[in-house]
Amino acid sequence: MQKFKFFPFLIHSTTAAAGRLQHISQCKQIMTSKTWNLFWGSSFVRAPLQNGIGRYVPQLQRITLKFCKSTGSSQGAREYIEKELIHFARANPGVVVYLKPRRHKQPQIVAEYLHGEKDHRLLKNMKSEEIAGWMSYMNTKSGYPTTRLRKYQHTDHPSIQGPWNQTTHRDPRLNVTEFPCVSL
Amino acid sequence: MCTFWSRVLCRSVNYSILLFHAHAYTNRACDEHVSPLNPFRMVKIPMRANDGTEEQNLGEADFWQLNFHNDSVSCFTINKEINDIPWQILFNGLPTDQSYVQFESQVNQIVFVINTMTAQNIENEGGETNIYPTSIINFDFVHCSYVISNVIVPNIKPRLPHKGSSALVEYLSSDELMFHIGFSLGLKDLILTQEHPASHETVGRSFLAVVGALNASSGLNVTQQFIQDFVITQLVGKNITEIWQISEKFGCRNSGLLEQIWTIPVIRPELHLSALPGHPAVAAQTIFDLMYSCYKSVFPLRFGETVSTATDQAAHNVLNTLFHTTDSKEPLPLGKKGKELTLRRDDNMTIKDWSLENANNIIQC
Repeated sequence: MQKFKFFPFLIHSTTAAAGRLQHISQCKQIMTSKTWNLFWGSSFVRAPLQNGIGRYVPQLQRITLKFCKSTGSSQGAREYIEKELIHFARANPGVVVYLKPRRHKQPQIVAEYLHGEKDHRLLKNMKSEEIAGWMSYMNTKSGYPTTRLRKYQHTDHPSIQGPWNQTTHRDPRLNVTEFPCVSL
Repeated sequence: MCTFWSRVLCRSVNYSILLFHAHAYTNRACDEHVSPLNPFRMVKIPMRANDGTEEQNLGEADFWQLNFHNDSVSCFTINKEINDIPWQILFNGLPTDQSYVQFESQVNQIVFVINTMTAQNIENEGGETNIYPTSIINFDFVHCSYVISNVIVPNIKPRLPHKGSSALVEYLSSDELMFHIGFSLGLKDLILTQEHPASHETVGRSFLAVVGALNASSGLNVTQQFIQDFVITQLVGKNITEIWQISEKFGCRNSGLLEQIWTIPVIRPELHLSALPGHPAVAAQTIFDLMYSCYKSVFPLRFGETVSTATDQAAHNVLNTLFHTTDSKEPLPLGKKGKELTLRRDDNMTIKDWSLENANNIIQC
């Protein structure tokens, strides 16, 4: 069975299943394509509402940061809230940021997108810089579920002169020939 | 006399925007007979609307007002029949469905507006409250369709006949597409409606209301750009033949346009269909499209194509070439190119106006 390494550039978003594999971009496991397709499937490149062709609309609608005020696993989250969250909110005025203190719960972020999709990420024991990176990651996502990309580009016109058919490179004399013709 | 905003949404055939201004009188002679024990008192308040040029008197509305001595809060309900008034109001700046206001008025019967006393105090001290000047902005929500049909489509597909552009407009103005765009923009969380979740129709109409509001506030140019960026982009990846069925509309095979083309021997397409499966000397050729044969011995194509299908496809492709809707043509002018479009206002040519002189993309040699 052919095995494929888990390359970082294949991943564009995370789901609940992928959330269990923390630091998936750094994962050193070797996962088969069958397993990958079973959980995440595959798709082509797409953008919600043809985003970017006319104008770009950030798809992140609201993001909720849940943390605990006392536990050590939320230390990074608390530091991020104190120092960097305000900058994120000012830089993204179209995103609603919610803070939810939850006692004795692990820190996590829940992102909701314009078209209704949700995504969440556990931030247990993460530092402030890592959390900032994941916030930026959620902010720049399309919101679509994670799937393996079959191709890294998309075009509506794969062929300009027309796809190949059996008469593409045939002798033009065929057009004016009466059949059956032994020579052709 | 103190002034306050009352937000009313009446019968809404179109989602027009109207800002309504009502004057509230807290101490009226009609209230003197009310017992102090009665927590409510009926107040008649004249309703006026100002369209910027003249003030219209819309009659009086009955309000239930709390029987407070300080009148710090006014709560009222609209008992007046307002369905006959041909204007609508944007409820608190959000797209509002009629069902929401009917629900609010029927169930609660009391709507708190603002703290009138506070507002009056602020005004007495020379401050400014969040009370906007009266204005009536009445427009038609079909501005979206108008912009698409009269402004944008003739410019992105100039050689398309009027029937084709009408089919495009119909597709772009369809309820499904309006819902899809409104939903993808997150409009479902902003709509005030009784039902939850908001229906497809409600979301679509709310998007149209947003377009209308944009037109009223920012003008046609901004609205055009908005529709280009969100509505016209939905044509990307779509085959126009899926939207507009040419052969079904006016029998392209027998149309006078094709007859003109057929009479020109130079440019007459050399259409040829031949498939002789099983013959050892000639390879059985299967024709994808653009092939037609006058030969008597015509065999079905390998993939199940027939002569009539090939004929239709050939005529179809010829018309696509004439109307500049083939894949090899330039993509839609969107984004930066869309901003540089010099939009024209005239309609596309009808199919009767098409002629070989106008079909200047055919080279005669």
